[in-house]
Amino acid sequence: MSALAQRYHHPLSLIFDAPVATLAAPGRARVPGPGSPDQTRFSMKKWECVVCGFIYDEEEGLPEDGIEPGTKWDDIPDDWVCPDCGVGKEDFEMVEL
Amino acid sequence: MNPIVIIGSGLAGFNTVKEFRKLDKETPVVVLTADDGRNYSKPMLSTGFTKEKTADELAMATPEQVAEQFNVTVRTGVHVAGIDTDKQRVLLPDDHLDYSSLVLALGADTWTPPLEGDAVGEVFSVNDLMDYGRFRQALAGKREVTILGGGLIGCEFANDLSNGGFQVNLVEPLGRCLPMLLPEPASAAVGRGLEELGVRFHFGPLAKAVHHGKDNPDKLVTELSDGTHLESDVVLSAIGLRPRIGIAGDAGLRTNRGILTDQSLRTSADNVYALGDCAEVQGHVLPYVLPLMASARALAKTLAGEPTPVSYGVMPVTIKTPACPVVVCPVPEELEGDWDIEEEGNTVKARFRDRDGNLRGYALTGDAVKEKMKLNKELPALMP
Repeated sequence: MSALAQRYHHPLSLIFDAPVATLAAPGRARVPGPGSPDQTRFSMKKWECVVCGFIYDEEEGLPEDGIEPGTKWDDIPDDWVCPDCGVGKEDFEMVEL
Repeated sequence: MNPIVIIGSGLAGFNTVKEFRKLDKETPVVVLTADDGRNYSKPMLSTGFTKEKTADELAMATPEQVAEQFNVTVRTGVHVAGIDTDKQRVLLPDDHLDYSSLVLALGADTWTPPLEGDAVGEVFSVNDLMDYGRFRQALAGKREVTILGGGLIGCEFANDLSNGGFQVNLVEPLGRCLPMLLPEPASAAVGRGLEELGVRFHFGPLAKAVHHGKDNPDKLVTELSDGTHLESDVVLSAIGLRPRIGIAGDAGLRTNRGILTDQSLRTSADNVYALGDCAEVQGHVLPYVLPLMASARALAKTLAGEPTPVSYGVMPVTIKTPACPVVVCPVPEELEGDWDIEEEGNTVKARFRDRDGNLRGYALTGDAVKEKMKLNKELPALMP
């Protein structure tokens, strides 16, 4: 846990996004919208709610909330709110876990 | 025109500011806070060790930055002395401030049971960012923590402090984790998850006293009602929260468990509103972020001239115990019905149905937390 915790919020963390996302179940990423699937999957990111810690993973989406797997953060509607605490998109930050 | 005055700079106060400024850029707003006025998120106080965040790192903005970003005045370290609802005036120690509308975003106090012993004054509670900073400081270089209370905050801190490398002792008189929120098998799953992290439970007894160690006065000894003596470096009380209703009650506002409001968050006094942990909205006291955010949005509209009642949909509570994740949608008090519980290892899916067979609450642990949204769709709104 502590190694993981140390990486968390590391200033260089963003450069690790691509490899981590590629490792995670590559077959599951279905990608709507523009961009070739491979390119899009390669840049899948995670976003954390700064208020409650909820994680939005672009690769997994939120199918139960009507957001397909592979939906990029930018493509989530502006009026979407955090399912755990109800804050808006502006209260999320990109993270690497 | 007199300003809108908001008392409190926690999530309720600052989110009201933020939502209001989306609708009204001009009306003067003054935020009064007894704290240092830094903007932070209280739920993050119980994941600080896991994420290795100091108090300074959890602060998202200084009061000056909040003031500039939202074009408001933030007065820090101000202890409100009273409210004169007839004159629409907030009384300050050496001053007063007249309001057009007043928002009470006072939060809640931690409640600590009566304890004896010569080290009672050293028992911590972590209720705001300043507390958190002192708590982190006290833990520097230390090893062992005793937590009083195995509810939401107690369990979250037990997980977080274990992640941070501390040995945790947890005392819970009701005999299991999260006793007020979960049915027994789900409590057991959380208990096993935390035990695997190394948490040592003391289920059943109450804490009676906290003393300085006889041989080593730097150590604290927590004495339990069953005679057990727990030695640790730090003691954290996480028993419960009580809505702050004092100044509201003194000002003649109607209070019960919280400051009473209608569905538009109006208190019993004209132009005085309440939201967040201090409020009792149509009988609901919900010290969680989801209802708070819904309230801040509705209140912002009301303050901007469009009276708007708040709606509470389904209000699930996520408990940040990654050793065994938990989501619970509490069963309404005194509702009759039965739990239907499926269990496999630390994955528990518990659904509560009323006498008519309708789903009215649930508790999910482990992998079952993924079913949250599916179950939410089956549940009635808490306050439509």
